[in-house]
Amino acid sequence: MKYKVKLPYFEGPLDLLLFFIKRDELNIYDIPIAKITKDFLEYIQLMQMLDLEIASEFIVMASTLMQIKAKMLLPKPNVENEEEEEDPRAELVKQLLEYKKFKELAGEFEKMEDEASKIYYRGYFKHDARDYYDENETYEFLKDVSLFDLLTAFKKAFENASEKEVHEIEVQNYKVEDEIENIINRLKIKSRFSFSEFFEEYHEKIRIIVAFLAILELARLKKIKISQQDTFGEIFIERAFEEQERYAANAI
Amino acid sequence: MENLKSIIEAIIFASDVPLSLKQLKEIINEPNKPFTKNGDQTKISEQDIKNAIDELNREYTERGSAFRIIEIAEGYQFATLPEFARWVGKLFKERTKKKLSQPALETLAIIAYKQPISKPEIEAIRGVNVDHIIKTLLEKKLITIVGRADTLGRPLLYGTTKEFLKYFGLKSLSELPKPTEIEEIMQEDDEKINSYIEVTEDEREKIPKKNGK
Repeated sequence: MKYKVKLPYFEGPLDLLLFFIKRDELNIYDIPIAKITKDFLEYIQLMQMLDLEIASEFIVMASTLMQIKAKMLLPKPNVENEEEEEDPRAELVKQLLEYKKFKELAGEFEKMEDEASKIYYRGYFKHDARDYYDENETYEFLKDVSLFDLLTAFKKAFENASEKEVHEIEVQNYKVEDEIENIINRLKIKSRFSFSEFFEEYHEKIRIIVAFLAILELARLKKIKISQQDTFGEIFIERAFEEQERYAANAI
Repeated sequence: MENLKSIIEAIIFASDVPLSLKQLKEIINEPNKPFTKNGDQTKISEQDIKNAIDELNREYTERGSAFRIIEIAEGYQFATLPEFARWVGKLFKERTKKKLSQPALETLAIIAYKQPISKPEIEAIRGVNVDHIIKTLLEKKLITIVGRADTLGRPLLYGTTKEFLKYFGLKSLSELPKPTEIEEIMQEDDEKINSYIEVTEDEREKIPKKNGK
């Protein structure tokens, strides 16, 4: 059995790097790239061991780190060049600082969220982000409806629509009289039918019922004979009218 | 009994969204039958309304009411005082527990400070995919689509909503907390670097001036 584990701590490679920097009290402006690359790769290995899905972002960061490390190991090609070459780490540091800033702001936001959650506004409470878990919530007004809302509504409507199957209803108009005529005509061609043979070409329930009623009616009129050879055996329908009577039936 | 203060109280009381001073002014100065003070034809100003709201709040404080008219999301709305959250919260049990996740807060912070901003730009800062978070934030109406960027692929641009201000108890976007010292440190560094580059022999005297700014 396989277990899937999610480590909630690191939201991404930048988060993980910040964690290393904080944990080891590293100077963010002067990151020991060899050490941090080692730590980072170890973490990825750990994730592999735990059979965690490694987000592609982590792989990208690992390669970036190794690239920086390689660049730093290489001797500067142009020593005479006075122009200060950019530190290979500069881009990463910039990215880390930017991310760190928002991570800290997120902390501020959390405090604000906490404070604001203590305030309850007067209203009908139909339109509050904190209530969004209620999926069946309906908004009465069109105000504040964004394109996104419309798209969501459209998608929902579309999904609901596809769930409904469409049935075609045919008007069925079978009459016992018609079936009587039909049976008589068939018996003219072949004087004896088995019950199952007879109903072979009947597919609609209603028509079978009507035809059965027709058989009963014909039996009552003694135009046909119904016989069964043994219990639960096949039932046969047999012609019981003479040739002349045929004309009479046709005359109806 | 019909005085400006009571009218404002009634309008704000009946509203389920924050009302701005401008909106209140428009209602009160409604052209067909505007409010007049003892036949005085001068129109009511936003300051008059603000004063009335302050006066109302003073009254609520004096009588020890559990609510105030508070300034929130670019408007005014009735709200209970935070100290009653314990009790009022019982009315909305689910809500109080539902907090935004860390990734959602980070993404919101980025959008709040950098709006309008596209998804790729957000992802560049966070270093991870934000598809799902954006969807959740849109559903919560904390952010909204504000347009499209002119860059390649014309990605959608996102910005915060009034609901966002309300959710975080902000009067307006200008009330957002200032980014912490890091930004300042970075700026200082930039300044240091810049001054290092710019300063030549004869310009050296100018340094104090630069720092004084």
